Amino acid sequence: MNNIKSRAGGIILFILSIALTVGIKLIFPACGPHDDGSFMNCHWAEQAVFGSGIALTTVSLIVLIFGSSKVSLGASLAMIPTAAVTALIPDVFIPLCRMPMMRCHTIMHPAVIVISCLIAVTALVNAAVIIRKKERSK
Amino acid sequence: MIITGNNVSKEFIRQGKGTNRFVAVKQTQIRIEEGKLTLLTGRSGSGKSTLLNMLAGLLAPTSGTVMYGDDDIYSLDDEKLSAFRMENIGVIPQGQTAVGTLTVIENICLSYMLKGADDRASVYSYARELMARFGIPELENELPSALSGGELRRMAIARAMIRKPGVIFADEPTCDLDDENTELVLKILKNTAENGTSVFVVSHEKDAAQYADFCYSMNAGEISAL
Amino acid sequence: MKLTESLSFKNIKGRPARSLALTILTAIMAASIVVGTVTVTSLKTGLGALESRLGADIMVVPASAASKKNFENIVLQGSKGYFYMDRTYYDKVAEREGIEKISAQLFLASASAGCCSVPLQIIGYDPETDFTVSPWIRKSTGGELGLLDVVVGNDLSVFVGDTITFYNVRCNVVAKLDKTGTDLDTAVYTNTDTIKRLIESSLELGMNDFRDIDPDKVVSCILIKVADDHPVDEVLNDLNLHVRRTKSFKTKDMISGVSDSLIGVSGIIGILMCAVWLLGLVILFLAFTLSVNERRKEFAVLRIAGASRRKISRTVVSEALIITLGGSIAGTAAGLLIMLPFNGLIEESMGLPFLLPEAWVIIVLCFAAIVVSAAAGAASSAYSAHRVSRLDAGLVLRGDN
Repeated sequence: MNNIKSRAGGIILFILSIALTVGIKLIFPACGPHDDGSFMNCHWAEQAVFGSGIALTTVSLIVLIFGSSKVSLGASLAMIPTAAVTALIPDVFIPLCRMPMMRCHTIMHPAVIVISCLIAVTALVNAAVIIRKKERSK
Repeated sequence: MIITGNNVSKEFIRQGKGTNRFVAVKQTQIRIEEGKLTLLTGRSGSGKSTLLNMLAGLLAPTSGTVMYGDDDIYSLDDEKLSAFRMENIGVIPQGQTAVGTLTVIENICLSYMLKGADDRASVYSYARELMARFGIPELENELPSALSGGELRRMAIARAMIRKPGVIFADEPTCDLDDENTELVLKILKNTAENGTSVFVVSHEKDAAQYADFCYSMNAGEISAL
Repeated sequence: MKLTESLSFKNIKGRPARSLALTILTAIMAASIVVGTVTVTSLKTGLGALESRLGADIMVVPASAASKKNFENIVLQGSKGYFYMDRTYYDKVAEREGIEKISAQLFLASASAGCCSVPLQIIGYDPETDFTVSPWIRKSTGGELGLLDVVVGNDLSVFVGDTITFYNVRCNVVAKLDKTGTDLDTAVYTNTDTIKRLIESSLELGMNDFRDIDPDKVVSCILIKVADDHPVDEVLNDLNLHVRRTKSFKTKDMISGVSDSLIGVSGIIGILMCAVWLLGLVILFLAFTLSVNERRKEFAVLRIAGASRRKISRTVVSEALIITLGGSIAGTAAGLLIMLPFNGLIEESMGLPFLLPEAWVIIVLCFAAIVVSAAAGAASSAYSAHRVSRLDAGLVLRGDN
């Protein structure tokens, strides 16, 4: 029970990161290719988010495995800017399609923002919890 | 502090069958001396606890007055009476009475959690002193659910004493304790009285009488000195 | 360090499952307010924006077009679609009585080429006679449109100064319009000369559904402003009676279709919100009542430790307030996290004008949601707070004998 409690943050981060990585490909991908097979901008945003999602998943595994140690704290902190950058990939770093009513705007973009924000907030809370635990045990 | 109950009586209206009045305590005169242990015995339902609650400022009598020195405590409004109770009266209630979400030391310092103390350190150090005196020094950060009956009772005594009140009321403090714990609790109360606090104990424990300075007995709401 | 009152916090922390459940419940209640009110407000804002752009009293379209399923959205909201009728109908309509202003529009949908892979609706108006589109186009361009100049709706990701190509004709984007929350936001406006050029080009490329039209001799839709001394219905009946093979509509009626569905949607949202709230309030009330009941002894202990009746009820209420305030802030944040990023998806799936209100309106709504939910939570604990403050510590602790 205690074990689950101290790893709750890591579990949530892992689930969210997996949701982002798998979701961007399967549930909320960007617009499909043109008839001639060429891709629009948003496809590259999708690819970038996918890559970033893999990175987040890897780091969240570290958070999960190392429980409430210093390694886990560092990994948690590292996830905050990574998640923030991920939220900015669509439309800020990589422009999306021009029509706001297209899939990449209506579904992919908001989904990426919501999940990234949740990851960043969870990572922040998890880091704070670890720091407080460390202080208390001193 | 000398406490007197002047002609206090308490009537309850039993619910259910019309207006069925029931007199729990009849026109009772009692005096609790400073620095003495006063014992009240009697059968269950004889009105002992009702009298104790009235004397402790927890239950307004139907008639009569309860005087602390020269002050009639039931002339105070609830706010003032509560503040007076907090400062001057320690009560050890019947049964197990811990706040389940607080640790042992927080339970002991309960009245300070209600009304802030400026110096947490000194309050806690006195609480630790009491815990040590009552033989539960290592339980500070435990939750009440981890404690035995005897330990909980000692915690309740410490809680009653944390503000060094002028009077302590104990309602069946040895009920459901084993012999060893009974003796321990009675010794603590006796010791407290000897240090200048007025102590009023309600008990049907036979051994309690040997610790008492004054003994009263109660029967069907009427009191008599033994 | 001070030792101060933290009893409420301790109670909340000491019963994590109960506290979490109640927090989530209040969060759902607050989120339902945010989602519900922002949706309804957005629909109203969208309808307002739509109304403000419709200056015409009557619209006349070919009778064949009026049977099209999507026809109202084409003329009202700029959805994709086009139809034509002979220009002689324009003259026939213009001859009728009671018409103060009359102007024609030409529609064309772009093929999936150029900037966007999705077809756009292109609306051509006649600057000489127009009284509906020009005012707000003039507002955004500061002048008239030249040949091959276009004004684009707010949702198109092209910028002033860009060019945009339709049927191999390059057009200059000279202005961008305010948002309306309808398909008008993805429409392109231009004058008759330009749209004729585009229609010609589409015909040459064989990409127009109408093979044999002469853009100089057709119109898509005729807009009419009725003279003040004539009732709109009278003119409408006259047109429907005497100009055959066309169908005339009162724009108010068409909008009322939109506003009817808006009222319907708002009603459903209202009912859902009420259901969530009713259920939530009952659960909160029961939860607080039960929890206080089962802690009567603890409150009696607080009494003997010197808590006044007021202090006891304050402890109960503040415990409820901390939970419900936390819940309502979290719920409001969650509501915003749904409404703000996903508003495009919501707009699309509702098929109604949907325009998020200005930021300050949203802030006010959120603030209200937090205050109302937290207050409701605290109020639902008021009864148990009152009851527990009345309890007689002596009687409670005297227990069973």
